[in-house]
Order: sequence, then C-alpha cells, then structure tokens
Amino acid sequence: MFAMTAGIEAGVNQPLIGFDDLTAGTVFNFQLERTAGFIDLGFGVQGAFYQGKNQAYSQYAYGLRFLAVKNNWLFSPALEAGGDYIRRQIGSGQEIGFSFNYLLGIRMNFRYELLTVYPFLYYEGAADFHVNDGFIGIKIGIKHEL
Amino acid sequence: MNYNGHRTKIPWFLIPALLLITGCGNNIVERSAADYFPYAAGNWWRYNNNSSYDPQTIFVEVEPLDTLIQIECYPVTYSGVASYYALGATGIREYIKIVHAFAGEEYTVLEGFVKRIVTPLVTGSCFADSLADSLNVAGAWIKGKYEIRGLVSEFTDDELYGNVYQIAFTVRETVVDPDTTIIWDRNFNEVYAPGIGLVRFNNEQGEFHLSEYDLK
Repeated sequence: MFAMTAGIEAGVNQPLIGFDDLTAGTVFNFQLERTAGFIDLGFGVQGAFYQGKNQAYSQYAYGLRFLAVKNNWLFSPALEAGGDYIRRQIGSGQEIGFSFNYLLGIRMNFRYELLTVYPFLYYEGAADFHVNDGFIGIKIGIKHEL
Repeated sequence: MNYNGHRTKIPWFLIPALLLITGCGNNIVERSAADYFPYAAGNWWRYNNNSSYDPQTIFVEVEPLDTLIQIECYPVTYSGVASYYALGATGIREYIKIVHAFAGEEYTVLEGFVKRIVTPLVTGSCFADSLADSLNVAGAWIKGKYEIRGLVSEFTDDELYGNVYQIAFTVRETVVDPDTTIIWDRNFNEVYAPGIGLVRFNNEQGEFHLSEYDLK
C-alpha cells in the first residue's frame, strides 16, 4: 500500500577487532525500507547490550542507521551507516560517548507472499575517528510489506 | 530563498553527521576497545624522572610466565626487583608477601594475591582489597595486614598517548607483634595509555615518565 516494508532483526555481535573486555552482545533493531530505483533505502533504530568478561562491566549502545540493500536478490548485499550513543559502566564508574558505525553484510531472503525472513551475516565497525574496531555478527530478520 | 526565488537546499544528512563528528571527539571507542595492560613476556618500558639534580632511570620488564601459590602470573621486574601480576577477566592481581624477622630467620606472616587494578578502566570506578593473616613465632602472635584502594580518575586526552587514565592508589601495610605496631602507608598514582601500558607514575622517589618502550 505504501510500497514500504517494516521489519525487525535480532541477533548477536561478537568482538572481532579490539573490544577484548567484552563477550558476545545482543542486538535488536527495527527498520523501515522503501524501494528507490535499483536498490532499497531504509532507516532504523538499533540497541545493543554487551556483557563484560568482568561480570561487573557492561556496555550499551543505542543508535540510528541509514541502510541500502538490494532486496529483490536471493542474496542481498547490505550497507548501513549511522551513529551510536554508548554507555559503559563498571561499579560506580560510568562513561558515555558517541561512535560512528558502519555495517557490511549479506542477507539470504526467504519470501512468503508479503513476508520475508532472512538470516543476516555482517561485519559492524565502530569508529570514533581515532580508532576503528568492530564486531562480526549474525541476525535473523523478518519484514513485511506494508 | 536565494535570489532566483528557489529554496536553498541543505543536505539533510549533514546535520546528524556534524553532530556525530562532534560527539565522537571523546574517543569512547578507543577507550572501550584498547588494551591498557599489554603484559607479555619480553615487553619492556624505561622511565626517567627528568631531574637534572638526581637523575634516575627505572627499567621495567615482563618475564616469562611463572606460577606462585598455584596461580599463573607474570614476574615484572622494576630495575631488577620483581613484582608478580596475575591477569584475569576481572583485572590484575598482585602477589603480596609480608615477612617477620626473628632470631636471624624470616617467617612468612602473610602471603597471597590482592586486586591491583580492576579492568576495564572506566572513569569513577573504585576498588579495594585486603589480606590479613597471623603467625605464631616463638610463642608470640604476629599479625599482618595489607590493604589497597584504587580510584580511576577521569581520562585525559594526552597529546602523545591518546586517552590516558590516572589511577590513584592508597596502600597500607600493618605488622603487629606483642611489643610494636608498624604501619607503612603509601600513596601513588599511575597513568596508563591505550596499547602502551604505564606511561607515568610517581612514588617516594618522584615522578617518572616513559622514555622508551618495546612491545612484542
């Protein structure tokens, strides 16, 4: 009706470069996509929670994402970019800050009428324009055409 | 509106991009992702006190892994004097031993590992640990106690080393025998940099700065 799709994704991120103090994290996001010529463009919000190897340590990240994906292929390359608000804390200590995030990945689409389900394998980089580290992750996504 | 009567378009994505670039200035990714304690056998650091009246150099080197009281730890020599650090998920623990001399013999009153630094470093985090024990030496009870407190102060953006953390330590060693009580208080600060480790510290001998280092 609106030529848009709405979807949710959930999965895990595993530190790949840097972030040695973190264990795997849980990631959720909600997004809207719309076909724009050859590709589909979208916008989403994301939340992630990481537990530290030190059980007292944790890190949260909440962010916005702009995405481009080629939805009508079986294997859809996806590119995302955006920013995260990060909060890390241990005991009484706490820090906040912002990061620039980007994601490169591929989705495998399984379609049933207006519904699409896809596993999503990706690398998500986090940078603060000083260092650049990142996670490898896998999510399961489900989306519906509106 | 410009002079043609057309609305001037500002790229909408520039606004969040500018906010992001400004916000990223506090380098939280670096502090979250970096290793502030690169302890590995063979790594070394050399420190100078920058004094022209009493110049001193301290050479710190990490030796191969050793085992003390069944715990794997790195001997770290400070100009030849060894401290022992056990690395773990919750931080770094240091081997502590208090001895009591009596009739030409040395008796170990207290021995064990205490928290030295809790990792990861986060502004405002504090920690404390202690060890206490006693020993009967020739009919007299000798009590020993070791207490350490640490506070991670706010990170600073150092021109040379990036986002560095300063940790303020307070250490008290107490030995009590039937006749006397000996208390040794120490206060010192250490500054750690990402990917390098200890870059500055002060103790009774003054303030020392990193002059050169080599990490394997």
